[in-house]
Amino acid sequence: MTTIPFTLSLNSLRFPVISLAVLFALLFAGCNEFDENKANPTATFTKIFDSDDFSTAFRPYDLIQTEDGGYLFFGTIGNFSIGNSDERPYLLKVDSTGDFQWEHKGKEPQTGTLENLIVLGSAANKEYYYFCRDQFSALPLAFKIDLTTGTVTEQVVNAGSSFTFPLSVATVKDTRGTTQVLLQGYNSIDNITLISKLDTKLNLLTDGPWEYEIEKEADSLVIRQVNGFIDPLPFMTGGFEDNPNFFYFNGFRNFKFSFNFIDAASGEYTGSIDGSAVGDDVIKSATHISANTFAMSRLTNGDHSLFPFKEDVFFEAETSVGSPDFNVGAIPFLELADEARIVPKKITIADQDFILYSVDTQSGQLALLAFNTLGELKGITYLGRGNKVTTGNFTVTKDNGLAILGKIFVAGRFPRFVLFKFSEEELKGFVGL
Amino acid sequence: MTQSIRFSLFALIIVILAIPPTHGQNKKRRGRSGTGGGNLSNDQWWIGFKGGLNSSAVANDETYAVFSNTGSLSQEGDIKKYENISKYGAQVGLIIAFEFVNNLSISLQPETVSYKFGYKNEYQWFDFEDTDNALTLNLDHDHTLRYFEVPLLLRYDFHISGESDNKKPKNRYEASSFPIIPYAQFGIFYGKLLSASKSADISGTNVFSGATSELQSINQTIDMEPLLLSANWGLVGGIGLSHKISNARISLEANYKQSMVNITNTKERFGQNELVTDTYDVLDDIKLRNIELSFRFIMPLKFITSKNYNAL
Repeated sequence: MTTIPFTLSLNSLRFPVISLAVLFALLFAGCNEFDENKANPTATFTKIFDSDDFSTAFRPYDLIQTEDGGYLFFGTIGNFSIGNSDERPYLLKVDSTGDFQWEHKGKEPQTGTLENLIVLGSAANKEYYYFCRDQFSALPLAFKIDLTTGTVTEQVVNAGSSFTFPLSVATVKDTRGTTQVLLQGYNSIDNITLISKLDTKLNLLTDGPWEYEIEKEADSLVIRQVNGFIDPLPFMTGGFEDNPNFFYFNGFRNFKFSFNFIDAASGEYTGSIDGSAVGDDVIKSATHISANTFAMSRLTNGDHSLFPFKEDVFFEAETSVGSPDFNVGAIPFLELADEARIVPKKITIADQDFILYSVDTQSGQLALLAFNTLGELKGITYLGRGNKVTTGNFTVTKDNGLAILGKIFVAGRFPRFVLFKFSEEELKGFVGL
Repeated sequence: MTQSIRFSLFALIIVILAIPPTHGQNKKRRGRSGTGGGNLSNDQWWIGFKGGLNSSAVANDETYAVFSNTGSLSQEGDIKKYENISKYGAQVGLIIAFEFVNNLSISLQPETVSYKFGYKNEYQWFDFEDTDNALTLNLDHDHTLRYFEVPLLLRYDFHISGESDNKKPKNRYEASSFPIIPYAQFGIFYGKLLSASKSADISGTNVFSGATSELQSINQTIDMEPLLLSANWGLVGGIGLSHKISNARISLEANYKQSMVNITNTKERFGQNELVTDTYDVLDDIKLRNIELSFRFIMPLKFITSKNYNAL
């Protein structure tokens, strides 16, 4: 039997001890990174919502973060082979991580989808609606959305007997703080723009729709747009939280496509920013910041200018988008695509107000531009590269992040909804905080 | 890059610290501590190098996808088809071993290792109204990860007697009668990410009005370092065969490595915008599993001569 010699001195333990110490030191140093490697799955993600249907096309308009932390997307669904006129309203509900929950496809006769989701009801019991047009009668249609089941129920809309061709919808507050629904429409028989003020049951609050005469020539533009033959004109309506005495609508009035200010009590026209007669030089988008200050954009024959901090927009004055005074502070943004969708919104990041623009660029990217309330650019970022990505809408989320709904052309050809969700930290970094 | 250099310097310092204070003849210790084999100390230092090839598999603890299927028409292309043990990386490094008990040694083996793994996706779209239209998109994702790793291994040599127990060596200074010495080793490793890249090949087939055409193939290569944790650790074990050549030893060994942590940086999973929107890809939660085959060459640092002045 051979005895294995065994000598173990402190000196001979030096290497094993040092080696172990080094390894454990390295592991300990890495522990934080290992332990903290558990991202919140709702904070940052990107999701593309797809089916394997070759011919389906989606167009995103609006999104809302729902009480369960998920998202309700709204837009249209169409078919490549049939064309835009067949676009129907489309709803898609996903959970807080972007996973599919349900979808709803509007059916005939729903067409002419208005771009906003409307939220009514109380804070504790919110009711979600979308509006569109009856394909045959041109009357407005409204549908209440059941978030749990994914079903919709048609609601009776009493916007007045002469109200046809709904063009835009928004909620406003009256002087008592009561929510009202503004519905902009068009009557092609009388050639008038119509504004109906409705209560939350969608009944008309005035004797009839307020009427604003327009030129006969505008009729063909409106009709061609509602039939999907030309790119959308930027119809919109809305109110001012700090001034319930006025609301605005962007549409045809008198001889021009104008951004019009209206007395909320009487419906009387009080002032405007006038565009061109044929809608090629207009206010493309706008959001109210405070008092007489707006964030806007102007479209001039395919060229875009941004007005991130447009002061001195008086509700009882008349000006023109082409006047030199109006264009002080304009930022020509040549990077924008000719038919860019531009969505400006005021958002608050770390107690600071910013104006965020989501826009479409010539290179097929979705660009986010952040301006402070002095109109200074504080950040710009691009989404998408090889596959074209365009703007839908965006919203600040409950976790102080940002959710951006866009459209991505999957495989370069299939238009699909895409959701970009950014965390609060990413949003702060974007604006340099 | 700066981080890599800093870590390399750190590793070098570790190696220097671990090397014994004297090289070659340890005159002071000679004749003091030995109990067998004359007056020789029983511990021995070895230094050498290693190199070889490896192949990886991926354990995906949780899968993630960019696509979210809508409705009954489900797009299944986002299910990744991993290609395990099909791509080859390489490793090269130093060996510093200390045999503190006969047949039992501990070694630090700082090395750079490149791991390669990949997976495929196949997406399909069908026209349900016109069956002459369809599109298939194939995405082939390859990943190359390069780490600086420091494995710490405990190794046992199985000295096999050739003919009878009488031939069994009394200690390591006596050559085994059997020319090949098998051994087994086990330990842990810590790795620091040096670089990482991802290559995505996009190809496909377009069927339009019944005519089939191949899509133009596109390759995208990106730096994916931000998508991974900067460190990794795991367990390693293996077996090998060693052969004595003069004072040196050459060995061939096979090791299995298993990461113990998810190497994906979960906070940056969706951070590469172009990767997400162009290749519809995000990393799963993954742990690397790796088989490596290495050639080793080591030589002793203590040269001790016998009475006949032969190197042992």
